[in-house]
Amino acid sequence: MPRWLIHCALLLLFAVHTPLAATTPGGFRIAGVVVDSVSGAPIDRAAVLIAPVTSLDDTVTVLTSSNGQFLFAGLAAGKYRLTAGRRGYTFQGLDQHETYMTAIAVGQGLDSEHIRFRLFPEAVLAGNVSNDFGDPVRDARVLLFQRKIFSGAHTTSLVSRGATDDKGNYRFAHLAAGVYTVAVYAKPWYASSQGAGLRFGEGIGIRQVGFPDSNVEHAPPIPESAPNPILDVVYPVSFYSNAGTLDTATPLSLVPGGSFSADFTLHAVPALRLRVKLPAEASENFTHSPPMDETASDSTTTFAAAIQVSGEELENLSAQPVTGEPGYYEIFDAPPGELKLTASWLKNRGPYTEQSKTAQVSAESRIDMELPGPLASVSGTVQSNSRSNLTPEDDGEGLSPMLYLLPRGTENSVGTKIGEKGSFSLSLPAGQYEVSISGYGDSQIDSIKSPDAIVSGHIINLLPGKPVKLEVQLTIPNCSVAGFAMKEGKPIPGAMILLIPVDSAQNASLFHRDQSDSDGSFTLANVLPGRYTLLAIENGWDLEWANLAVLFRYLPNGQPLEIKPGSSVTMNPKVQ
Amino acid sequence: MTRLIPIPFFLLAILSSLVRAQESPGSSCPCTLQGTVVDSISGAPVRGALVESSNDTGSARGTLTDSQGAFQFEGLPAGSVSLMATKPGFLTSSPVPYLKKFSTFQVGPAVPPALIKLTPTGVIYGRVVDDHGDPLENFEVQLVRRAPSDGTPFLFTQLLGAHQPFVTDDRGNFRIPDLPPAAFFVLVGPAGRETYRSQDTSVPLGYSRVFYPGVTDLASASPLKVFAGRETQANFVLNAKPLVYIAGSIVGYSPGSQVGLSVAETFKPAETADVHLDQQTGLFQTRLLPPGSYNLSAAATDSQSLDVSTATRTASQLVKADSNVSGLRLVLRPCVNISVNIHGLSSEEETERVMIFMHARGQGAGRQAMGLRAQDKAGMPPGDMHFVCVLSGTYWIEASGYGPNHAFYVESISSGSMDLLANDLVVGSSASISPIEVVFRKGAATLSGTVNIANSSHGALVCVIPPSPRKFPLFQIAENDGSFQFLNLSPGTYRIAVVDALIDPDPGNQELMKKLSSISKEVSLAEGQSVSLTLDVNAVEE
Repeated sequence: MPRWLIHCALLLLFAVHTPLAATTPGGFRIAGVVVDSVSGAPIDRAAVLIAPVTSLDDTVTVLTSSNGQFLFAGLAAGKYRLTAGRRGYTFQGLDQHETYMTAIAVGQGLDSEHIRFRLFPEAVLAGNVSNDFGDPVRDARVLLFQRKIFSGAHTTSLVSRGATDDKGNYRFAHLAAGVYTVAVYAKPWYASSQGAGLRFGEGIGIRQVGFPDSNVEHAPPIPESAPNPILDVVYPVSFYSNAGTLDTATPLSLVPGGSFSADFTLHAVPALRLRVKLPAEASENFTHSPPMDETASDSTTTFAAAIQVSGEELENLSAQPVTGEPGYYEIFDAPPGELKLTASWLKNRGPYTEQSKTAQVSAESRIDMELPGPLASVSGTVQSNSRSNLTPEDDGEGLSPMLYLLPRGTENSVGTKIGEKGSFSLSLPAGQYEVSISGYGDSQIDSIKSPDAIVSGHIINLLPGKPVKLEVQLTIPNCSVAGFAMKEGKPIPGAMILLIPVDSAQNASLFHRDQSDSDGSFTLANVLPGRYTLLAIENGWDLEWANLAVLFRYLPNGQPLEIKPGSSVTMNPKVQ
Repeated sequence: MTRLIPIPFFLLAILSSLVRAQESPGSSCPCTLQGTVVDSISGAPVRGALVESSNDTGSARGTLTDSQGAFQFEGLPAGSVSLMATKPGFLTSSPVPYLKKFSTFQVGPAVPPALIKLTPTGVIYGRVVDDHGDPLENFEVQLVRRAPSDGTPFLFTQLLGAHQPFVTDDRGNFRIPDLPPAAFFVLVGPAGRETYRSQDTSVPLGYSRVFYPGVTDLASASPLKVFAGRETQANFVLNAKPLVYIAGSIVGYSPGSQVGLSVAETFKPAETADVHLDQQTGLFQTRLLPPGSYNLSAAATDSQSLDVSTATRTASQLVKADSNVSGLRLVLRPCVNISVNIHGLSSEEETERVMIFMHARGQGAGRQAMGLRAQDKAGMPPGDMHFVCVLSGTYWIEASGYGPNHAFYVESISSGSMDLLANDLVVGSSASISPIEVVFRKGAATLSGTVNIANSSHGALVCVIPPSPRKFPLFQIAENDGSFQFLNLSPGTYRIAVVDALIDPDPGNQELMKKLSSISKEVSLAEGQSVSLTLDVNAVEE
């Protein structure tokens, strides 16, 4: 069953009390009962929807009766997506895991009339944010993190963003049970790095009442010259409860149908003023006018700074070039904590280069973006297998095809524009990096070969001072694998299907997954050609499936596969 | 009616010259200015408010009030200083500027402490549920207000900018803060364009966009009054109704023309419904829509036609669809072009600035006031202005003209024998409208003066009721020193009344207009005359 996006549909609740039959042309039926996953009690007046997997917009809705039963009759053979919801129960798919669910196969010899749909009651996490004065903080950004299996490993990742209202209240509803953390970021409403008086100049003093567009000009006064300690303040990113980082935050465990209140008090601290030195290459082309367009063909250097939490950029900070000192930027209003600094430039009229650095700041300081030596130079070519276009996509905004080396455990990432013949070159400090490509449409990295560096999947290991040559092959992933998950001759629904590339077993982002449907069938699409192991694991959804140590006991009984370019393979893996 | 000209606000220059006369001789400053910020309704101190000062030399300072609402600025030179206090939840921080933000105080060795009053904003909140009491989530809530200029309803929530759209949460609750005291109509409807298909009733159901307390047309809606510092509740119980379609045909265009039809709700004009339209036959049918009122607007352009003025044909109609509508006929008519002739200005003066507006009156349901500006072409002889392709509807005409040397007033606006100062212009199916003749005259009158606002908490709202045939009152909030000024007035007998600035200037509120009339004073203005008055604030209950 392919990925399914959850639509936040509105519930239609009707004053009906009998189980309703929904009819469409065809002779088959889907029937069953909807129960509360915690108590097991049947749920009445729940909305149950089916839609053929080939036309998901054609939904048919039915309400469950007082004993929780539903029935759809007169259906054509085929596969149907089954979803249900009700006030207090998040809209969910049958046996849903992450974005995967079990579809119902309807037809001759298939049982689709004894479905037990367990609805998981939803949880709520809400709270209030106030400041040192005891006043509510409005429009604070609230981030919700969940600890779950993401890309196959236990991680804490951002799942939702919210904001506080005028009373400082925020609310995350429709949550599945799980372990969560909350963080808040806000700017004090009265804060200004440039002192008082700016508000005098904002179009106030209208003569016409009620007309938003008839303003009166007022000459703004000269702002204070020295920073005002009362106003030049920030709130650091605050984690619940009273923690400064994601790792020290208190995890909140929500049960199905549970709720939790997480309140915050934000304390203003002096804003930090930071000075950043750009890499020397960027300063060479430095122009004194603030660069506007990073895609301009003339040499332009740009710099941006943002507050970062767990890899997510929260808010841009204002940064100005320091007049009289080319290559230096000043950041105002920085809160203590993690920042992401990004500089981009054109190398001596050469390719466009981008460098990002993650920095932890706690005091007024100078940050040097120069990459610490000795550097290893990485160069090579990007080529495509398919005879069809290697033409890199120019999406019209001038964003060119780029090759990035993303750090695994280090601070700096570098990206460079790929030249017309597919050539690229960049330099980085030693360490492990993941190679990533953008701007080639659907083409993905098929393989990376190098006579020098150690390559595993898409990850390369750079040693100090050692130049590395890479040959990157791209291809459009258009192969597919389909089949039935079988155990002792019977199809198993709801099993986790895993397709693991033999050469890249450490790189979970290259794995493919699916969930088997009611007849045991599954489909994996958009697969790159290569050698794989196919696994089917019953009740495998809580496994750290990207962890080789965990998969170790399943791999020996997996199905080896060789997928040739452009082919579709059928295989029935044994369920373990 | 003349539109008032925004004037550059030389507050500091005027005030500083006024104040120097009062400065005590031999002042021994630098001095400290102390003060308190209080809530103008409850009198309670406001803690954590930002107070910014700006003095004669233009330098600015800022500080926050403490838990007692107190603040101070030290080391200020003697003289006057402008103070502005802001805090979220008070009108001076509202995204829509309503009240004057400055107050002026004296700095000296023995001046009384400054007292700044902040007016708290109001809130509209409520819950939207279905007829079983279950909450309706993700329903959009909008506020409609009648414009003070002409009473035409407009979407007030659009002015609240970044916080839009306001939607109900999982409990069906919504909350719109930062509102000035005024009357609002609350409009609730689904945020998206979801359609629902269910087999257990013969026709799918959906929710219409409704005004409080649950009607689809503005005329039957009940306004909600918002008060400073208070929360007003508006709850809704919505019933799903069978969806309807609107079908019919568009006639009156030549074959080969490109025909288009848009179907939209009055207060969601940007979201046009899907319509199936056959270019050849002109037959159309909309997708299934929730019952309600929809504006249908059709246009056909004949690309073969050489005559630009007749190439486009238009039709528009407001359709109240409570059940399926079939057989609707939209008859396309040639564009109505209306020319405008200007009199009384020499071409030199005309090119300075002349604006003619055709404000659309809401056709029952209320449309956003739109101004169609006549094309003024610099250097062209007067008379070469026109409105192109005016949709049928009812309009009131507004004209204003400025010259560098003279103040003009509008003596008359007419079309044929119709006086457009007293009457609306109806553009209908009949093809031609006589040119609009606008006559300007030099010698506009001015009505200005000062309101005694020393003891008033919120400031003053000055209302000027022009002589008939002009219909709309003019409203203005007095400046910080109580001054007001109405310009470009035509001669005649006016009535002027001054009330508390928190009174909602709603020309559609007949009771308020009657009360204003009864407490007003008569003022006669002759051509070119400037009259200055000193007035007090009158108490009026809304």
